[in-house]
Amino acid sequence: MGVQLATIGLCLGLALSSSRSLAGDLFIVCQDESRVKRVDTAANTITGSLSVDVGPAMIAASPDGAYLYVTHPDHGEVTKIDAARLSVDSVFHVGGEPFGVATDPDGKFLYVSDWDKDRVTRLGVESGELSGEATVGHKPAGLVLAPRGDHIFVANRESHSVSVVDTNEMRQSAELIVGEAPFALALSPDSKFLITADVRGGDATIVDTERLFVIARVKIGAAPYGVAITPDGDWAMISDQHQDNLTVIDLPSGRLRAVIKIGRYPETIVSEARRAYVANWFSGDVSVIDLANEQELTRIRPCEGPRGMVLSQRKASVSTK
Amino acid sequence: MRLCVLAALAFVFATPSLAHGPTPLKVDETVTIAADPQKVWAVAGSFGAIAKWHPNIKSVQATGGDALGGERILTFQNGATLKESLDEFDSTALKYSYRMMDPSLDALPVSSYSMTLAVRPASSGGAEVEWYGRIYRGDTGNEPPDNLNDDAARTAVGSFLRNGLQGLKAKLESK
Repeated sequence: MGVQLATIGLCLGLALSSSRSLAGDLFIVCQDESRVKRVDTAANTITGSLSVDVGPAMIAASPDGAYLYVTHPDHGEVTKIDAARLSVDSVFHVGGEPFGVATDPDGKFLYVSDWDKDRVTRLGVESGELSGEATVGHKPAGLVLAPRGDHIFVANRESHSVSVVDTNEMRQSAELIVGEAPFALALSPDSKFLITADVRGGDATIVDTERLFVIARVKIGAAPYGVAITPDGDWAMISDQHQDNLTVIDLPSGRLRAVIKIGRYPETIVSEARRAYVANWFSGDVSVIDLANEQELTRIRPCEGPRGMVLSQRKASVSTK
Repeated sequence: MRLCVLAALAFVFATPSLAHGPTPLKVDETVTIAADPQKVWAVAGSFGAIAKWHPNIKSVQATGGDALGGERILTFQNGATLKESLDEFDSTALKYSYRMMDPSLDALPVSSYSMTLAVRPASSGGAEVEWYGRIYRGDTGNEPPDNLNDDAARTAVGSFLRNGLQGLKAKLESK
């Protein structure tokens, strides 16, 4: 019968990370500077900077936007940040090499991929205590949660696969081969489609999540590294590290729409309705993409070594629900 | 159940991996050469001909030429070898990008890298050659020994790039 996934309306968690908002903030992890920077997306200006422990990599926001969680793979840590104050709330010493991170729709748990121990862990958001773990493929990296929070999809870079983890039982319920060395992945807002960026395969793999079936494998370039889907679910964008560009394709057909030249060694992409943002790791800037015209609008220069990013509404505008 | 079959298939794919940790490092070296960019490209832009100008490289065995997927096996002065593969070759932009295929810690203390070599006109005349890339330390665990940590990787690759650029400069300016 396959894995049943929600096709119902968006839950709060996904809506916050993808819908366009006037009070939108973009949080950028600056690995080389060990900082998290905040950008006001209305003006594309930097409005805050926070020093964190060394080697931060990926970031996720809580469903209400109140907290941010940053992984430090080299130090086995996760930093919890008060988003409104832009201050460190606490540091969780979780061990291993925590990399990908996602929050559950109820705001109770974090899910973290552990690159060192080939597992996905579930941590309580208050103190980071381990409340479950699931063994997945080799070298798990990018990770996304289905909107209902009942499944996680994780890209296993060295198993060339995506693991599906049942979050109720915290165990792997399925594993599907995608392309060679998938690093990042994205889920469509209705969770019907998943797309992986296959670093060594040079392609993006589009997966039907209900039947767990590869629909298409699209040639992208030398080293596809980051991937995002627009909030309407119509397009996917893939960054290519060795060719310094962003490829835009239709979903689920995989038809090529545009190739946009951006900065050096681009990776993480986040998207709202009209804009997408791409972290250019080497050139130390973030490309702002105008989706209507499929072109680069401007670049923000937040810091050296931008890696993970997340879009989030400000706490004040969220609490009035 | 079908899902179990899919799970089993996952392990068929086992290939020698280029596993690396999640924290990349930047290397970026530039040299100015008193020669026309096209002349510099004629020497530096041949993927298989690096031994003609890089002092650390004793010999090269190249296949596939300057096309995507072209490969070269570098033999270092200490006898260690390293295989690299072309990802992009743009003779209009005077630029090529390549990646390491398999780690060889005796050659360079890194587990993985990708590099770009680009030639452009220098503002003061002549050519500027930039050689830059993304590297990962030799031991990707959280407690790497000193000879395989981030500093060791950065130092070794930085010096490899600098030596190469100086070799290129010497060869082109001596003519």
